[in-house]
Amino acid sequence: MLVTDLLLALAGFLAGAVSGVLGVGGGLVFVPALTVGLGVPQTLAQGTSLAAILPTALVGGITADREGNVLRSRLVVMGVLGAVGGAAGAVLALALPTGVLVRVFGFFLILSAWRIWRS
Amino acid sequence: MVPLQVIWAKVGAHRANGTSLLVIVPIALAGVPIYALAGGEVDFRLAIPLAVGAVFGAYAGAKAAARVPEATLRRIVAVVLLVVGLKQLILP
Repeated sequence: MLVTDLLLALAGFLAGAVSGVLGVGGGLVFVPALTVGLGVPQTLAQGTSLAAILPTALVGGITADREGNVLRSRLVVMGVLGAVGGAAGAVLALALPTGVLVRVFGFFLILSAWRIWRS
Repeated sequence: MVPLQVIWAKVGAHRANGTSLLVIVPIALAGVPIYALAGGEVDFRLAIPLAVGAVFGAYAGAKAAARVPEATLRRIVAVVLLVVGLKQLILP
């Protein structure tokens, strides 16, 4: 299992780099690495990814803060609302078929891409 | 979170990214126990090696992002959002 662990750590490094540059958790890379790479079922991959995101976002966030790139004044409000949203999202993800939610999210991302490119 | 901050709150891309990273921590803290307890849907045997690699990547990535100009960082974010968004629509 050592080889699998090393490959996971490598995928993790890639996910972490993407996370640090983009300000996302790393699930973009964690989830496909688990589902496509190891054949882990989608929901188990999402839960496992979320666990790996915890230390990743913490290290990336502290590093960004040291670079002066964190809006500290907004952290508490966003963090509290985020925790509520995170719990609601996890309950939804476990209860719903994924198709619809994923498509709605995809549409939101494309709209955002267009607006950020133009800004 | 990054697009919401950049588009509606007019936060610069660097600060939107960094703030998003720290806000992800409570989000994941709230989500992990639900996945783990309600569904048994967390495999720590897989999460630990992923996380070990990822913390080094996150440090390097956050350092690198700080050196990228604002306009370039916004375009990188936009392209990644577009690609992931299309993937979600076409292959959910």
